[in-house]
Amino acid sequence: MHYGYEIGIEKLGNWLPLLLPILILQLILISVALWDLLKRELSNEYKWLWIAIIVFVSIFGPILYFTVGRRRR
Amino acid sequence: MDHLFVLLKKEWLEARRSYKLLWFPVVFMFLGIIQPLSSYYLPQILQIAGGLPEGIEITLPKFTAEDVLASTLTNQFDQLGLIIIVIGMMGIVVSEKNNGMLAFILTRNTRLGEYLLSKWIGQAAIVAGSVAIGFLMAIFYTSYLFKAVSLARVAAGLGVYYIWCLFILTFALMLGALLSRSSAVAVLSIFVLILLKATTPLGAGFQILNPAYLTNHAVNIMISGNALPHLLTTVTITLFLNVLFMFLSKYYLKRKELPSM
Amino acid sequence: MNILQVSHLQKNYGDHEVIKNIDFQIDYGECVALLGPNGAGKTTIIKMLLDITKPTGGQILFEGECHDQKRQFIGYLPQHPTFYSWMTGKELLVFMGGLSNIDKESLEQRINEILDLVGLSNAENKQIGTYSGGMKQRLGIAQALIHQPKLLIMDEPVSALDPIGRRDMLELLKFIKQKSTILFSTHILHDAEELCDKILILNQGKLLVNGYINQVINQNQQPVFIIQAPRVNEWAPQLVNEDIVESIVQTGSIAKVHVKNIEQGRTWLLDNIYRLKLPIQKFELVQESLEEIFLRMVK
Repeated sequence: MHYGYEIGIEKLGNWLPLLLPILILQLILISVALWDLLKRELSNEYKWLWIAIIVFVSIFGPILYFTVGRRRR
Repeated sequence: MDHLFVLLKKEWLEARRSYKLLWFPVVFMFLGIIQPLSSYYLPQILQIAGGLPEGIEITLPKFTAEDVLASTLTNQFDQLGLIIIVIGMMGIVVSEKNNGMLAFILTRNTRLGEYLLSKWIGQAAIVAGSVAIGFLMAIFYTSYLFKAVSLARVAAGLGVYYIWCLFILTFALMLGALLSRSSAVAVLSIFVLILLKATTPLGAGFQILNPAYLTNHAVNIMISGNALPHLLTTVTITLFLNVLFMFLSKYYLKRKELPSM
Repeated sequence: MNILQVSHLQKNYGDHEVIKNIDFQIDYGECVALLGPNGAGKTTIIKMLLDITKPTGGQILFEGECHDQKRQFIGYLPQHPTFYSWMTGKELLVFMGGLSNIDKESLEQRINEILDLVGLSNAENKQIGTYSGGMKQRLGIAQALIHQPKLLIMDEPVSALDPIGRRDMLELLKFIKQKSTILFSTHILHDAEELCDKILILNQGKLLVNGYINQVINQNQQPVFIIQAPRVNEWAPQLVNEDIVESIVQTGSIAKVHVKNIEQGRTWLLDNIYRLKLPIQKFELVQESLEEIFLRMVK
């Protein structure tokens, strides 16, 4: 159930071109992080953990992976 | 100075291979977009988030284009941006110090000064590029959603702001030389830098000496086109502190017995 | 002039003396092994030679000069060469070569030569993170030799390798030593014997032996009588005599008896064998091997 305010489809159409760059940036980060993660030799458990972090923790997921996750061999 | 060039090439390669060259600018682009977008759509966002009851009217302040750019610095770059810079820099000296690579490099013909300088220049370039491209996004969005801004003013403000960025970077680099855990570097850097920032609203004479106050200078230049008093003094002091930090790092590392492989 | 001259070298950590007043020298073309059990101070000496650790006292001279001017004449292979895992083997050599002032034109050719020498030509464009232990060690040798140093210093170059990697490395070092002066540390006597002309035996920070291998054997060898008879445990303790016997080592059904004087020892031992009515299967006079000398010294 929605409450409060609803966005009309036509409004979303107005927003989209402005939001698109954000989506693209996010997608680039996620795909590069995933690509790097998958090509490395790590345990599956470790990989699944990081896949979840990269995909679901908004923009910080990939950043966390790049700063912390890549250090482990 | 041949060594410096060799070391810089290595920094560049490392930034590429570790994807820093990708995620650093992207984060700042993100931050640059968020502020104009959220300022423009603030009424709608408030309504979605709060679900304002019928009949209640709120008047929101009208933002000028300059206001929006200025708050990109204060609300985005100086908060999340600052933390990102520190996180990106926390390991730059610590990791090579701990794994013995620094000691090893020094058994070659390399001097500690060259090594630290290569770290500093390399990271300063990445920060410069990222802040610039991030702010460029902010300018695009602001010009589109609000109105065009004076590029000269914005550039001057950004230049002043960059000196504060260099301070953030140099401070984190020094802590990297002094401490041996990157998490400690990050926590202590963020703590001290946020503390410096937190004192800026207090005003008072101390701000002449406070590198964090450079953001206020930058904002003022962007909004009014005029510099606040004592700008040059603060800039000089900040640059001096940067040089001092570099010397302290070098002095400390020179005297310390570095871990080796 | 010798390539390396170490005099009165000392290192203390607090009150703990790690290196106690050591002197030695290395001449051009020599291959010298720094031999000692773990913790003897081998790595500390090497780190002082490379100026990673500052000596508490004493002097280190390379061709008569102190370290600062001579860095590019030394090649160094650390004990655990963990270079940047994100670099390729070739990139590492370009980096290290650049730091050692090799100009660009000759570097490319030099890298190809050296990769060929250590057998890494096929892996030059793979990231170091994917290398095996033996490959990392060989890359370590390559980077140590890239600037054609006059003196190659290696810290335990073969100790951590598996038997095959170790054999490859020994063969490689044999080849390298034809052209270079080498100092390397090891705790395995066999490696020292196989490669080197000269050994330095170090124990608890003291230099016990310094010389050519055959000299060391001649000077330190003690005569040993081997007595083989059943139930060693019962009779061996009865052969202790402070005036004549230095020590007795029991291994299996054999007792190795070090004596102070061969003639005296022989007579005394034969008398006792007769007195105890030992059913001996063997009574033999042998010379100590280098290994036995080494083990006796570091005990």
